[in-house]
Amino acid sequence: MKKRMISVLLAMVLVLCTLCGCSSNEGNADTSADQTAAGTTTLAGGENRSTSDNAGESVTLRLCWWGSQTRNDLTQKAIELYMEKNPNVVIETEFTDWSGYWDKLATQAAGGGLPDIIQMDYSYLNQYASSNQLADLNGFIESGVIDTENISSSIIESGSVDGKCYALSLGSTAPMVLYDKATADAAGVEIPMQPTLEEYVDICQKIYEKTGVPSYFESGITMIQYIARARGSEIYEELENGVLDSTLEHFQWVEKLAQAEFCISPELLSEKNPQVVESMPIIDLSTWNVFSFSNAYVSINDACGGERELGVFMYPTLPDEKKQPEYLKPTMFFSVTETSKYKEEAAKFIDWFVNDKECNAILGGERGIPANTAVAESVKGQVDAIGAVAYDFVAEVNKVATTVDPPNPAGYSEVEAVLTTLVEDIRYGNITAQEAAKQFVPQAQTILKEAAQ
Amino acid sequence: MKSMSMKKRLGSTCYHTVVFAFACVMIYPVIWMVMGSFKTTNEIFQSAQKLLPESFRPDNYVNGWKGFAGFSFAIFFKNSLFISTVATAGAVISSVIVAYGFARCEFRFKNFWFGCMLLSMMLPFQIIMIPQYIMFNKMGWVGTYLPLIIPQFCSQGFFVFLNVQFIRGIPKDLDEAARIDGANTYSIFVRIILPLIKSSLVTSAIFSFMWRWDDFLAALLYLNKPSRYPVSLALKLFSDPTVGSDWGAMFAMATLSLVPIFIIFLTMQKYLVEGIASTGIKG
Amino acid sequence: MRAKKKSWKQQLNQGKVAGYIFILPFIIGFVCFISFPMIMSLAFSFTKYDILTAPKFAGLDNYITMFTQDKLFWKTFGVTMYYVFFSVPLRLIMALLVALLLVKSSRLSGFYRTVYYLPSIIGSSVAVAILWKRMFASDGVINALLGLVGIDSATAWLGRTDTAIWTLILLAVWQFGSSMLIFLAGLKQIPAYLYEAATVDGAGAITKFFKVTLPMLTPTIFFNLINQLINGFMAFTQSFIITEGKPQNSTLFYVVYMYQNSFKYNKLGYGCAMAWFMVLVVGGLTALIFLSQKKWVYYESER
Repeated sequence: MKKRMISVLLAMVLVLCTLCGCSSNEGNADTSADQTAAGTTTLAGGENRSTSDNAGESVTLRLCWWGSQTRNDLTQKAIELYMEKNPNVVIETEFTDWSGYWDKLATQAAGGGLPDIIQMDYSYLNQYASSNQLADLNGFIESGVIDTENISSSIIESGSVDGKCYALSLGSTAPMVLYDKATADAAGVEIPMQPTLEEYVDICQKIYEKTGVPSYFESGITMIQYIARARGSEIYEELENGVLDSTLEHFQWVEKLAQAEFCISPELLSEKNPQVVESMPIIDLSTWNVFSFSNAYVSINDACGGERELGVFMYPTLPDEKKQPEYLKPTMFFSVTETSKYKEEAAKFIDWFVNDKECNAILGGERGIPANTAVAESVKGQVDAIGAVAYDFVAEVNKVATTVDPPNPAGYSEVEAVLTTLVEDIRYGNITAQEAAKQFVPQAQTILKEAAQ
Repeated sequence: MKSMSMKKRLGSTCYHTVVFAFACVMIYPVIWMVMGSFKTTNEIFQSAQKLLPESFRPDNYVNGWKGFAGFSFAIFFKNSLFISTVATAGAVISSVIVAYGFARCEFRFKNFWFGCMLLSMMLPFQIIMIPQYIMFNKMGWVGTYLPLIIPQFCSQGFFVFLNVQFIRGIPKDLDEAARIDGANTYSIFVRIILPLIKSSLVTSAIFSFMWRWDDFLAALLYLNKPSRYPVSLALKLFSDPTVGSDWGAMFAMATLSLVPIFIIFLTMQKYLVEGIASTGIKG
Repeated sequence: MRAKKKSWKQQLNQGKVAGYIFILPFIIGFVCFISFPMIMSLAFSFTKYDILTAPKFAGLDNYITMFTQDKLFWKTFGVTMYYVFFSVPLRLIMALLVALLLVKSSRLSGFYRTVYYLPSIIGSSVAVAILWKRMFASDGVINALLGLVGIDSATAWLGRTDTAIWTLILLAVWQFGSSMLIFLAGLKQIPAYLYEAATVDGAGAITKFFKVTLPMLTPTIFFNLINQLINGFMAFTQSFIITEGKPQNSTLFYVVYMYQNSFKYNKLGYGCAMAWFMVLVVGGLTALIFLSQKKWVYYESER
């Protein structure tokens, strides 16, 4: 027994030694990179350390993103093509799921181990940019490393904070309502490309009377922002100043639509979470419509079984709109991190990723409609009839769209959480629109003020 | 006599009926998940009441096994097996050693250290993960398996506590008797205590393997290259709330990922039965 | 002389030295891997720290906000207490009952043990989240079963503030496997001679249970109780992936709210303060149970 124990222990020690040995050998490359990165964070004082010329020198870039199986496969393929064309560049890829991605990124940022290129989201951009985690790309745009000839200035602007471009858009998307065409046809309603909220109520009413299918009305941050836009205002600006107007108007519509008989019950809505594609209420016709974004069109269509025809229209606007609220927004960006040692190489890669037709032929517009108009045109030829619906919709939006609101301020996600709870309260009938607005605005104001410090 | 055996048989039938019926209730969701691995994502979400899939298509398995960006699940399984096996061996061995110290030795500050151990069980990982990352990054361990494995070799509170409870249940007479025969503290541990707490060792091993197998947060933070990802982390990659998740493939791979734990449990559970009762130490 | 100066070997054999040798792995681990992050997190709790920029000292601000202004803090604390209060005892009773059923050796016992343990194997994976959502959906199996018994129900169990938390409690009870396994191991450790002696004394099955099984099992019950209590307070995944705290925060667990504060709202300092408050509460409860163990826990080695 004793001998056996000893031999087991010995074996363990052996395994451990080999493990340490091999992992420290293999891990050498990335750990040393991490350490230097950590070293530079503490030194970073705003001075520009961008390396002058790396031509010929072998460069290792770390690149990370979130996404599905398709995105992982396609992106990896594109990157392999890039490495083939640029033998001096090695790109190490890292990918995770959406929620894990932000935990990991935050941890790496705190520990000084951020990769060179990171995929960025509109809602996180401000936070990372204003805490000096991201490199300013303006220099690369001016020097032509990043070619922006075919990219509209509004797209560059959407990746900018305080005039500095920190992120380059990889695709565009627009707010979109999807509906079951068969149900609408059965009810005999004609839906305009963008109904007013009053028209929208009528449509819901008619469909419910004729077919018995209830409707869904988006009440979250996207819609409140939309209503503020239609009023010619900007929601976060209002909240920061404690202005009640847009919030109250939005809540009143929520109340009106939630209490209408044609609306889906709050209990069922909580079960058929419309924020997650697979459980959207439109899938089993718990509602005839759902509010989403154009880049989700294909997957919602798939989730519905792929055999139903799904129509689209823009989010409903106010009857007395002051400004067209519909907008185009970047689905996601690539950013270069401030700790990267090879900023120029990273910028070169982003330029290729955004502008190269061969690269985008591989990617196939999976991240949304490409920012480069010429590339978008060539990618459109590739997509099937279903994918084309989203393209046509975005083209339609492009004709009327006004500039998107600036990136969300710090503290927005807490504001969003408060909003979600209050909207739920309205839906369950625990609170009136007036009361909800009076609670929401001061709370949001405090949160935003505190977060801005 | 006859009625006696009849009664016994009736009792046995009753026992089996009750246990079996309840087992069916328990296992239903598991079967639902296995069946789900043959359904398309739509089928999973549209027909909640139907247990059987429309047909037993292997598509999900084929598609899921393919993995991501050229890294198939074969790689992820290999990684998981390596991490879980080494970590489990480390956790079980170190924990029982520590447990013996706490249960049978009297030393200064014993209660303090035991308190520290309990404290370490109460801290939510989410809170210490950033300082821990900073620490491991400074040590140059990020990107390797070391942060996932080495701490396991320093004993785990849960298993220490478990073993302590079991060792305290062993009569001290046995130790005394062995001491008279010339045994010392160390040989008592190896010769007397270890054989007697086999069931708690097996329990620790099953739990440890399972928990290491399921752990994804540490892997998410400390591993960078996809070629090193374990299964638990790879499973997450099927889900993307913004453009839709491939639940079919996820269910298929989740089902496969149960197989190793299942095998471990099946082979280990019979050792659970061999406690003192069956080996029969008599007072 | 000899009695005073013990040999090196004798010293090594003494409890106070041997004890430290045995717990050395723990001390190394604690000092190297746990103490530093722990102290850091305690320090963070007195700062405003948004992770991306350096922490700023804020004194007791976090604690003051927590106790006086944050309504959600108390709400989530209440939700978690409710969850622990119901799920822990139910799960333990369930685990003990099943363990008692399965400790009997029969040809099928291996099979039964496996089946009863299976739900715990699938653990907290994402698959379980979907599974649970679908089971309790308005068109799910639970309602179908109720329909079979004649109760026509289209309840969205996860959509009602009064039922949603119970689906999570049920999930915890359903996954009683780990406690069951520990009870089984505990039951198997009870020496057979005690039962034989009881039989000689003419004790029946029920007397045996209360006079032999239960007292001998108290160390295991004690362990399971403490462990489940800690686990109950730290419950995260269920709320995080199944209900996301909905509806109306009725299933928002304390740790989930702590996580949201730390990573979603970028207030890691506040999150750390919340964590340490929880450590205090759980630590206090654990200490109480430890103090009570003299009254009801029976150790064979301390007769």
